[in-house]
Amino acid sequence: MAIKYEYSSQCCNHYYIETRNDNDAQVMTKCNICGQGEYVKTRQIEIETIPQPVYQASEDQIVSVRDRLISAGFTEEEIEDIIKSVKEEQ
Amino acid sequence: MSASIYSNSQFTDSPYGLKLQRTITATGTTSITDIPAGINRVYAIVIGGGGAGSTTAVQSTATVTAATANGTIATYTANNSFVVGQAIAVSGLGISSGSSLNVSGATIATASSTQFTITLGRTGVSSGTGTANAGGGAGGGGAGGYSAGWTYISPTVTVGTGGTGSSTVAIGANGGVSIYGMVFAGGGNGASTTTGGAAAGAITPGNNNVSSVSYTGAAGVGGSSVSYAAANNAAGVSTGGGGGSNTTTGTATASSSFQGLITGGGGSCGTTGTATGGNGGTGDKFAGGTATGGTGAGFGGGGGGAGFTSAGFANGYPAGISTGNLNDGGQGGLGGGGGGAGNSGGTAGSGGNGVVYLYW
Repeated sequence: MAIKYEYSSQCCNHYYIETRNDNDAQVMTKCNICGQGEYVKTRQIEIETIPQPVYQASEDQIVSVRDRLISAGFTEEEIEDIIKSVKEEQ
Repeated sequence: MSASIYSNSQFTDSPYGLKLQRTITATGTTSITDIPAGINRVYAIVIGGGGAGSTTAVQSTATVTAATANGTIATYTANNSFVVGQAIAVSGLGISSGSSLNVSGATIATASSTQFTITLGRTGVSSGTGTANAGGGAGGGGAGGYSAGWTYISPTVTVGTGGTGSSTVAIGANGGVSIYGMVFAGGGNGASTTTGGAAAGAITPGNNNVSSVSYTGAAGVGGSSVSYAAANNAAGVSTGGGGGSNTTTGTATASSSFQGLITGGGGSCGTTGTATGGNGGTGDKFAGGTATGGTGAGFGGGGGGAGFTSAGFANGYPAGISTGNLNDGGQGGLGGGGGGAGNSGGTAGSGGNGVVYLYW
């Protein structure tokens, strides 16, 4: 779980944010602007981790690629091998 | 107010007088939608996750009862628990015909429970019995890449996870890529079986390769040359992991990683004698993990590399563990440090997670 921690420095009220995994230690504890005071937590919010996009080729796109490969001189057998290897990698 | 930044050990040298406004260490991709209106470009420092160290098989000994060689392959008959890729030394065999089949510094090519083979350019047949010692060290993980520059703001940020060290015989896992807007850094290379992993640049290197782009606009540099993203056993901004020691008997020490901004983990060694892993490289900001050695299979793990925001851990000390086994590799420091190599059944150190800093 990712947590966004909002801080305000005791010295100059610098508003600073750290987004960390739960249980990870605070990275910056003293004000990084004037170096005088500690950062005091004012709020913490759980935030969602966004799944990485996974690209999946549609059947239409595969047909389009097939047309291009035929134009480039590939045989049907070679094209099937290429499509098979791409699907196996996915 | 007087300037007091010099008395603050944590002060980050903000580029061009900018202020550090965000630090992101949460791994994976998270949203970042709270940049104030009017701020359209920011300065980002982006560091990828460190690579994990690799793990060697348990150091072990077997009695060789017969051996033959045909000029290409030597076959040794022995009840054993060796695995392919382990370093091997054979001693004590007599000569029935041809050349001696005692060897040192060889690598096991094939192995079953009753015999093993090595590549050997000799012909001969042994007599009597001999002793085979298999050991050898694993490599330390490479450091995560470092990249910095101006970028348009982005609604998401990705922080690479450090490669996870394994307790089974395996190459190390690569660290994850970190990216914010136009600034990105690759994950450190997980170590191969014996060789240390290469540090990452903008691109995560493949196994046994250096990063093809060491920094935005800068090609990768191989060999032992200094680079933004160094090869294994080489210095740079992000440094490679130390190599393992292939010594199977006697006292042995594995290679340490080199000094750099973010450093790789130390290699490990497995020997019948005193085994000492390599230290994690000394970081410009933080120390690398040190490796404590000793005699027996319970030692030999490498230290973790120094990260950008914290030190590497000593062998046997993954993050959060107060005591450990000294054949375990140390974890890399937060901010891309590479993990130390595990040894003789130990667990390799995981790479440190990446980090992203945003200034405006």
